[in-house]
Amino acid sequence: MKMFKKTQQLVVAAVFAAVGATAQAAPVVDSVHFLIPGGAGGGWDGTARGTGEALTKAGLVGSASYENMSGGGGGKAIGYLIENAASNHGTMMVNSTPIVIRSLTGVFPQSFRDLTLVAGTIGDYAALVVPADGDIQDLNGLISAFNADPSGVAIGGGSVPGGMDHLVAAMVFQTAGADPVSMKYVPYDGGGATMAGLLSGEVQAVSTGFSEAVELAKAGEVRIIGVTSEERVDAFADAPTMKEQGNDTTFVNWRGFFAAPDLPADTLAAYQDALTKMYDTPEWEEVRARNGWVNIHNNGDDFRTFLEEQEQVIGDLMRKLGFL
Amino acid sequence: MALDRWIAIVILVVCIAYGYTAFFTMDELLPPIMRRSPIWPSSFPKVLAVGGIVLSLAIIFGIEKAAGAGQNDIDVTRLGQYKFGQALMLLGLMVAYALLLRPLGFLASTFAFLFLGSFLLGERRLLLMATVSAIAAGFIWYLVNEVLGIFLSPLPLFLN
Amino acid sequence: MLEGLLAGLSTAFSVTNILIVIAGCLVGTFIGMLPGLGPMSIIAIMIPIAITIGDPSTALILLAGVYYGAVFGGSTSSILINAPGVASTVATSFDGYPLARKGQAGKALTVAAIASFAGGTIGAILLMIFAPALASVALLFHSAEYFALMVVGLSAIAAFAGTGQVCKALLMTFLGLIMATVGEGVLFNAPRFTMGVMDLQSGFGFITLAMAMFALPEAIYLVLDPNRSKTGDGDSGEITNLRITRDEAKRIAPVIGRQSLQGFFIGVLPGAGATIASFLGYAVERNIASKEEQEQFGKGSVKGVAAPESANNAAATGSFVPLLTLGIPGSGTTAILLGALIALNVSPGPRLMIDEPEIFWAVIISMYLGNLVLLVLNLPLIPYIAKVLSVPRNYLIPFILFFTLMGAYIGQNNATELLLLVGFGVCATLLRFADYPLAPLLIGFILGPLLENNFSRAMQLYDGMAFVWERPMTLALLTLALILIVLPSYRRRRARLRAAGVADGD
Repeated sequence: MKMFKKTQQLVVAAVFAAVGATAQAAPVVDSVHFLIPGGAGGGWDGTARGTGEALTKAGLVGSASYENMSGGGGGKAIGYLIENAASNHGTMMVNSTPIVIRSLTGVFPQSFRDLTLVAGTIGDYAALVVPADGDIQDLNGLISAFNADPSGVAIGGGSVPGGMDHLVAAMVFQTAGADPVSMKYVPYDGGGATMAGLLSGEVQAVSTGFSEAVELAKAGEVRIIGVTSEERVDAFADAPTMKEQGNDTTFVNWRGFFAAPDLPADTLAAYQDALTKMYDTPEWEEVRARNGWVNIHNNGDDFRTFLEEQEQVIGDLMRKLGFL
Repeated sequence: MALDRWIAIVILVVCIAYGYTAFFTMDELLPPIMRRSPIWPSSFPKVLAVGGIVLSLAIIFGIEKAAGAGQNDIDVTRLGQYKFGQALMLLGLMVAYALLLRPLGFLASTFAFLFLGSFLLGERRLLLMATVSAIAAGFIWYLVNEVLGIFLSPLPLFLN
Repeated sequence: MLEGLLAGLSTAFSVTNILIVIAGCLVGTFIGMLPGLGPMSIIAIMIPIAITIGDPSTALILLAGVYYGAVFGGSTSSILINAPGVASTVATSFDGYPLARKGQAGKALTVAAIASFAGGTIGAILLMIFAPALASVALLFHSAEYFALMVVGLSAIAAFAGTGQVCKALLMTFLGLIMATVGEGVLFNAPRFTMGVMDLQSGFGFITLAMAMFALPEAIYLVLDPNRSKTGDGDSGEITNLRITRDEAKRIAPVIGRQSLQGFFIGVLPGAGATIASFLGYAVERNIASKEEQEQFGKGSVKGVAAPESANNAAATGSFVPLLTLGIPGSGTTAILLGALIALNVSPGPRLMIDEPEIFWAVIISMYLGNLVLLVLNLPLIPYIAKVLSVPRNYLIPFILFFTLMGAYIGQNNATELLLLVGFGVCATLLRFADYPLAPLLIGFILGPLLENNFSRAMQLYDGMAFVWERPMTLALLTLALILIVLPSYRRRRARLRAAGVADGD
């Protein structure tokens, strides 16, 4: 089994060599070192390795290496990248929405502005979910149940209070005119426990990532009463969006890549180029499909605008709820 | 005074500091929205601090009668005969390893640790030690980094 | 159901799949022996390989083999060098290591292997028969019940509170609970007690603590006392003592039976897994053992090895129930397996049994196979594994120290953890000098977050403590905990009274 990976890589390399230079363009980047702010097996880890796999298999990148550096909820890797910027031009760090939230709350002394923004590559929308056979059937049902008895409606989620799942639910409630401060949010330890809480009837609804809810929805266990996307998502088109039910809330939990501050412009361009080309490759599509990711590409300056907007929205909400 | 009472005193101090934080500093930082809940982040720590203080006081005042021989097989009365020097040096070596792992890289640090470790314990067959340490360091690095794909920076920082 | 079973059997017994199971078990065992690499990381690493295989049944069989191998490998390092690399094998070290010190490492490993096999196999049988029904039972457990279950788990510390040590054991438990509150928590918006140190934000690492509390003090003792035997008097490393006497076999059989059942049901509950099952198994078996046997717990009782080992394997199998029937991952490992399943285009859930029965059954059969292969492969290897202890002291000690360092470092690349490791190790050694039992600290540390989180959730949902008496199951479990704690001293009193000739109904 240990030989498997190496043999496979050798075979792939041989095939590429055999097919010849005409079929494969030279790699855009020779090598990339992925810095992962979390432990092996986590979400960031999967994103970095999947992206690296697609890039190398498609020949866009010569070789990829991965380094896990967990600690401080991601802060350690960020600090490391900033401090050792000069020797880390070959490094891309993966990160996601928490970098915005944690900079706001001051958990990190730094923010995304201290890094070079490469691109946001994938995203996951958020969803509100209820049991399939429960009393609540749609978003308005949830809001009216809440208005009738605020402390009798508990919303579960996999993040801490003030974290993503809480904020999304609060956003939806606020837009619907219900008081987000009196919304009862019950935190669980991750997506699995949250779903267990929902199915056992402990909470009436949960706020979670769309891709986590899709599997159960397909199995008929739960009903997705709203997705925070602009339009219905292909992966599960039965789920109505918040917008179409009259609630104009959109939210994306993005994942993307950052690089050392003061990165030379041509290196940055090369990374961005490689990532952009990646979307068109079948290798990426395979990785994307098997993980259930949604392509949401925000390159360079678009990425900055996107992050600043998200920071604004989240910051306002957190101030309103009193977390800031 | 017996060692276990000294330790109990240390733990008492820790619990008092912990309790102080829990009772007096934590609650001010709590946002209003979280104050609505019947249970606060400081609730559990408060209980634990009280418990810890009570129990450490109980040990200090010897409320409980100690049993016969401890389940411990180091005889505290023969302390002088034990090789503290070696133990302390090995601990120091571990600290040095922790601090130098990144700057020197995995291969060099591990090799040095294993070599110096066996040296400190009295081993003098230098060639054997060097070979074993080198093979071990190399093998483990290979296993972890190449086969398992878990990154372990092999070379010193300035070479990377 | 029968045709599904037959289809599954024929799939599982194909030559490829048998080779894959063997390979997976070997790889898993080997890697599981290295502290710091637990089943979760190993499965995460093997997933790309499994996906390359393509065929879902074969891929799952590989992953199952690796998983069970890793769990068994973890017990090996617990027993041999007191370095439990996985939370679910901590309880195994309580009696496994003392057995090794007495020169009976081979016996301990054998008991562990057999108990694991039995636990896993019985678990697989229960899974097969009861899976759908169990899913609905699992959902009856709310946070309140989990809280009560954790309290029952804490009663395990009674095993370490021998005469004169009750206060010390309790204090260590509280210390463990206190240490568990450092860092981020599920329920709280900001990390607690980090004193501004960034590395403490996620709290103390379990591996770091386990290495520091168990492996390091042992290694330091080995340094301090060169005459301290690693394998008992007059044994010179010959691990011939593999055979379990008939008497011992008779004693551990009921333990294995009980704990396989108990462990399985605990594993079925999402949120409670192999770790809790192993502690509870240890606690319960100790509490219902006769007085002389109770004394043996912690000093090298075969029951003390058999109980947690059957429990944790049965629980590992049980944790597949929510995964396969509801599509909910009940533990970290099953969460990763869920990802693998989805990547293989298998959607676990109530429809799995109906839509793709051959996969469902292949998974189950692979569990049997995995357990069987593990037993067959590892039993002959045990004498060689146990020989590790006969490596000369000058080399063994640096290697053990190195392994504890690696355990804390791998996968995290965080040098601060190493410093914490040494610091805690020194403290742990001092605690041992002063006769403080260390196991309760680790138990408190592991169970602490679950205890607090479930209690807090229950309080939030009930706006108070009403759940303690309003929910019958919670009340029942808490009463059970009370009984388990009080039972030993009650029996001691009765024994004393009886000895003094003042017994009721005599």
